[in-house]
Amino acid sequence: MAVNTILRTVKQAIWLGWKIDTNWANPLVFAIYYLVRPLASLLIVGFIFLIGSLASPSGVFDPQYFAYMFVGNCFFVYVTHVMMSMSILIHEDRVHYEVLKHIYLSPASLKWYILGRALNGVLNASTSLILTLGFGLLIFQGLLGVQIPINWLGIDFPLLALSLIIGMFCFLALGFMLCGINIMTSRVQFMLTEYVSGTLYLFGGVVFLPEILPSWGQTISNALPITYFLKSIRFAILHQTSFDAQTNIAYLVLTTVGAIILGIGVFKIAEYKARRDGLIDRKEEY
Amino acid sequence: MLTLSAYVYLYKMLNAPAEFASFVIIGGTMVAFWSNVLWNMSAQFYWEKETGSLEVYLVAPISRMAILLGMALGGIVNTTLRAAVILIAGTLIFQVPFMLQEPFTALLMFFLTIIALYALGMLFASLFMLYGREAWHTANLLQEPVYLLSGLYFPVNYLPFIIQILASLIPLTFGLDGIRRVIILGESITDTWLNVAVLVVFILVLLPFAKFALNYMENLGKKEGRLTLRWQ
Amino acid sequence: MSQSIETRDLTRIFKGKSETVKALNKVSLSIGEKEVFGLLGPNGAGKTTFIKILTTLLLPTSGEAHVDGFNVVKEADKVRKIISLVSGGETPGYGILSVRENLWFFSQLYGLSSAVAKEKIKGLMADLDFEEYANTRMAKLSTGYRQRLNLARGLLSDPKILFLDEPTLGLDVLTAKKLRSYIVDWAKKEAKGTVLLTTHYMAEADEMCDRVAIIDQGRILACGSPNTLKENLKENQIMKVETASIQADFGFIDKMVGVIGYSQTRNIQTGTTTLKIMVSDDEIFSKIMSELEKAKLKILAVNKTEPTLEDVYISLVGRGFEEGEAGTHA
Repeated sequence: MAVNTILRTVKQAIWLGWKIDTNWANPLVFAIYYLVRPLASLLIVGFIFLIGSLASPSGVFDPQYFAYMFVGNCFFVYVTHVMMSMSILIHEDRVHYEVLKHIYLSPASLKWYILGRALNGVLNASTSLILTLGFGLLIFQGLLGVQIPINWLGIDFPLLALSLIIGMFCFLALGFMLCGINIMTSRVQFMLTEYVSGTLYLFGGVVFLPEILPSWGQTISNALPITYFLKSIRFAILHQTSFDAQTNIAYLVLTTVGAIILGIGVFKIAEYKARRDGLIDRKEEY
Repeated sequence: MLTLSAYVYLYKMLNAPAEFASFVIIGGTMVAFWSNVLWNMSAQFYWEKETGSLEVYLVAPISRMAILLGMALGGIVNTTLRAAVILIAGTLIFQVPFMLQEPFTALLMFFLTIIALYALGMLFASLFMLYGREAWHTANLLQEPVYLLSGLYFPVNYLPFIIQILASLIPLTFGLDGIRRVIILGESITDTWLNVAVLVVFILVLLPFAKFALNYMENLGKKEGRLTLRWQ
Repeated sequence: MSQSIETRDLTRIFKGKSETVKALNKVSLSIGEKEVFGLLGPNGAGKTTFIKILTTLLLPTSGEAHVDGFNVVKEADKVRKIISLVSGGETPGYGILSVRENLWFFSQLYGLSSAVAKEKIKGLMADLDFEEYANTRMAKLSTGYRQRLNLARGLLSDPKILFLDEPTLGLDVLTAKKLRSYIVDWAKKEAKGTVLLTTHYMAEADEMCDRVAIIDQGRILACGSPNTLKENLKENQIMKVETASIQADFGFIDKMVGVIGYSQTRNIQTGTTTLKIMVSDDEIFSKIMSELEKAKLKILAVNKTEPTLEDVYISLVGRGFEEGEAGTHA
């Protein structure tokens, strides 16, 4: 396979993703779109946090915990964005645009195209992350006077970059799994993403410490790469204690490899079943 | 339900009083209805438009309101089941306390909220009918902000006053507040009559407005030939 | 001569919840290089299934298929590089992109270099007469122009083998004609590649194809050049009878000895039914006429006609080709 063709395909897919995302609105509205939802969800947990602290018997507000939740919720945007964009593209391309079969038949094949669309999701998520972090800080720290103990100069950038890169592999792997499931099914793309990302949100230690979960919940939490991803990100930004960065990265790599095997496996099965049952150009009936 | 649990755990971690957990559970129960309004009813027109069967509906000699009502009722069975699961599972898993004194007041409040929500849904449907994808995105966009403002997961009275005003434009806010006060705090109708009154006003305003909007949008759509256009 | 497409006993069975459908039943065909080959049959005959298997979208249940010598099951990657598929009546790309952007997108997926891609896109838009829509969003194109775009997309990669699945479905007469002659020129005059075309339009197959295979219920009933197929009918008589009724039951014709087959085309606008009756000799035909008179049917016209591909189908299957959907197209 010519590497050139693959690169062209990936590049076009990123461009196409951008075109589709921005089609319905001008860039400004688009930016708002990528800010409003994550910001609103950040504000919800932020308020829960503030109000919950106020109402607790001690009435004490713990800025360390707040920062924990703040960072976790902001970085979770990668999960929702990448998975959502990968989950709906099969349905869109197959049913609405009716082009999935032509992409499937192109020499570079479907997976590279999907990868490109996913990378577009990563770019969007990064934009969204930066905007949400900025406005989140502005609202909580600027308007409401909540102290968030982040030392911007003390961030461990190499660790942050490393965690992000490994994390990307993990999100893409999960995205491919969703693509595979979507090829084999129809009309479940929204529900599926909601359940998968909901599970990760609950068990991945996004807004609260996984230790508070019942023991079976903690077992799930320990098996999810997202748990280690967020831990690693938090350590890089917040330097919260009792943390061994190397062991954590090792776990992150291990679980990510697991996710990759799962993602590739499901996708391969989907590709096979698609050819066996002619699913690539299936028309859905509503 | 999953996100819901995350919020409950967050409250738990903060050592907040147990009624906050019940607060979240009831909020989550009502979200099921809100999503039904938004996705099953409003978005229905969008899907129909997509698949080209909207034309069939529009040609049929039935009122749009009736079609929408049909769609809503179709979804409401599922939604009620879903809501019940959330309520029961939430209550059992997190062992949240309830202090219900007046079940009829709770039911009244619940039905008024639902009617107001569905009136709002009809209003949205008219937008979906005409704008399709844009309206869909807008609804998508507003999902979390509405959760935030209507105090699904925390008491609105903690929010800044100006935001409270904004929140009070959503019927969900008053309905939720009323239902919670009756169920969790054990208040009676005499304590919550204001919520009832506001909900009734909402219904009286929203229903005729929704009917007007539906007719208006349909005529506009016919004039501009937009009803049968699929998305781009 | 080397074969472009070769299938041996190609079979595909679809297992549904309640029924099992044999969409293809031991289809063996070979199609030569630079040939324009037509697969002719009514809707649901198995044409699209055949194309889907050859284009690697679907696996066969049994049998073998080779495209340009590559096995479609085991060497799908190699097949995909040299083929392209254009289906009628489908969206040819992303509605949000302009015509040019759509073609550009696919040119990149096909691995064309920028310079070559630009050149090709320009050339194809000029050849197919839709340059003026280059910057129009695909969603705003009419069906005819969409199909031009679809065909252009299919030709971008200079496929060795072009698969056309009902390429003129739903098109107006002029556009259909334009596309047909373009495709024939592409294959013949420019000798660019092989064309496998499925259609249920008789005239299309007759006009375009070097050879035609007639398919019904997953089986190939006959295969040969349109002329040879029609030649074979020379000993039979074909009469066209126009009657002033659209409700009458002509079932009795089928039951008469010596009748090879018949078709009826109802025209709701004129309130007439045109019967095409194939008989082995004239005598039987006069019997039919007297039956029609007995039934008090008003006969508007009677003509003897030259055999067409439809008659070939009638002779093979005993019934008309487009029964039930007559009048939808010429």
